[in-house]
Amino acid sequence: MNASMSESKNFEWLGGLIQTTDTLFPSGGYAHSYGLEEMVALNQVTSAKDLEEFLMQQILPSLETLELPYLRYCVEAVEKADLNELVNLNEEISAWKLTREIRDAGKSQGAQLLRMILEIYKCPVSIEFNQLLKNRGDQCQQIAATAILRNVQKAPLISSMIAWIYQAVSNFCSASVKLLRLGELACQKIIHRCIDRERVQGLLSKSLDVQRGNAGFFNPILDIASARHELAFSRLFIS
Amino acid sequence: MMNNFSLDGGVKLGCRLNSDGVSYLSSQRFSPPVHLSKPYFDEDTSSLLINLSCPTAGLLAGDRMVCDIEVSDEASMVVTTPGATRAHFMRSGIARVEQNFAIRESSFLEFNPGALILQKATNLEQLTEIEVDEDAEVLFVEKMLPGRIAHGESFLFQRFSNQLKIRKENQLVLLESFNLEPDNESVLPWKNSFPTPYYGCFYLISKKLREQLPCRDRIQSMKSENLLTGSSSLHHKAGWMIKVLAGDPYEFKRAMKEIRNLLYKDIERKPTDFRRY
Repeated sequence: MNASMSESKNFEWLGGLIQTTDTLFPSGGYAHSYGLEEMVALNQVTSAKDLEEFLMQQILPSLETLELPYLRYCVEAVEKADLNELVNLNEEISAWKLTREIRDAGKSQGAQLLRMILEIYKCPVSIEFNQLLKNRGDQCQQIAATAILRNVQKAPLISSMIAWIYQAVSNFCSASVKLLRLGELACQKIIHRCIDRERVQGLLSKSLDVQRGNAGFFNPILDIASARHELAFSRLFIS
Repeated sequence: MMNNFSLDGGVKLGCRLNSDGVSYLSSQRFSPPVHLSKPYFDEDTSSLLINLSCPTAGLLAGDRMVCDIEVSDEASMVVTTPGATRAHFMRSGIARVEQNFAIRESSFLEFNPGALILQKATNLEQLTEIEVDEDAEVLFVEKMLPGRIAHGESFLFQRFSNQLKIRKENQLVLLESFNLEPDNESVLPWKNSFPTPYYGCFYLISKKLREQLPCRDRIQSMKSENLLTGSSSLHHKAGWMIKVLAGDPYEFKRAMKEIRNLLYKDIERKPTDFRRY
């Protein structure tokens, strides 16, 4: 009994992490394909095999060298209660989201997440951060809001990063079901392979080495797809 | 790693308006690996055309090239190169390019060099910072080839690290950063786009285009079997980014030329001829 109690104490953060990573949590991610819809329209992704390659060759590497390092920098800024640094990081995130739709997707999900943090966790940091951004005429990016959330949940960094990987992959897979001839089982298999233990461990260990000035990724085709999506005649998703 | 043969030089230019309202080089300093052509004032476009050439025919291991340009006083300057910039074979060490551009008051700068060719085993690092005042305008163009494609050389370079920061009125509006190494996944999105992918990008900062880019539909419609184009607005609505991927050099050249002309029209300026013969 004592052993199980102490174990439950070590995982106090886990329930909150699961709740806020779950698709039921209103993050707004369901409305976005993050460029995938136009990648399908451009015949760059047309099958389950293509989707898996897209995730493995384009999305996971960009998580490794760009999004996860920035999540880590944001988490570190929140841990140090350095909200000015968090504002700077938020600005950099908006600047490296090269297309308007991707940038706006991050902002709308960030704003929504900040609201939820405030409602559920009554977190004063989120109010202060939101005010700082308002003073500068900017909005919160999802990565910065997630760092605040994980801090208030006391979720360890590695677990927060794994949750981010899962969310990113599952968002694309969720969108793909509406865009491709793809069943839920095929999707789950792809997610399973993307979050394979060894793959994730390799990704995390490389990501932890990425210094602030070196974070980045080059994906001109996804940039073009996302830019073209803004003018697409018909579309299912906001991005 | 510097060796005895490496070069540490570059170019520092200032461009202003003289009392007749003509753009001129108010300051200039250059040293190998850069040589400066005689400036040409294009009366038709009221722009000063500068050609930067490279007497060493490209960048070699240990080279450091600094390009520092300031345009102020409502002057207008167009900077280009007579041909491609080649980053050559490097057994060890890296070459480094540092570029700083400041466009003050209501001035205009187009920086549009020839394509950067990432030759076999090259290792290049490039850092670019652009500062733009409220009423100033800049058209910054990057073109990149993954090797000497005509010789069948493609994605055999060692590493290319590139970072571009654009600030408008001290606000960061674009941060594009990447490390390309053909030995890992970093090049795959580019490499898999076309069998021989030519890449180009225009970054246009202008307050005239805060809300819309009139030529956007035309750029969107340029897409073909061998060409992908897309445009999107930058953070804080500072301007626009137009990306181009092409599967052949002719389509690439044609698209880059047409987009340049369209962008000039949208900022109500005339494009300066590069006078390459």
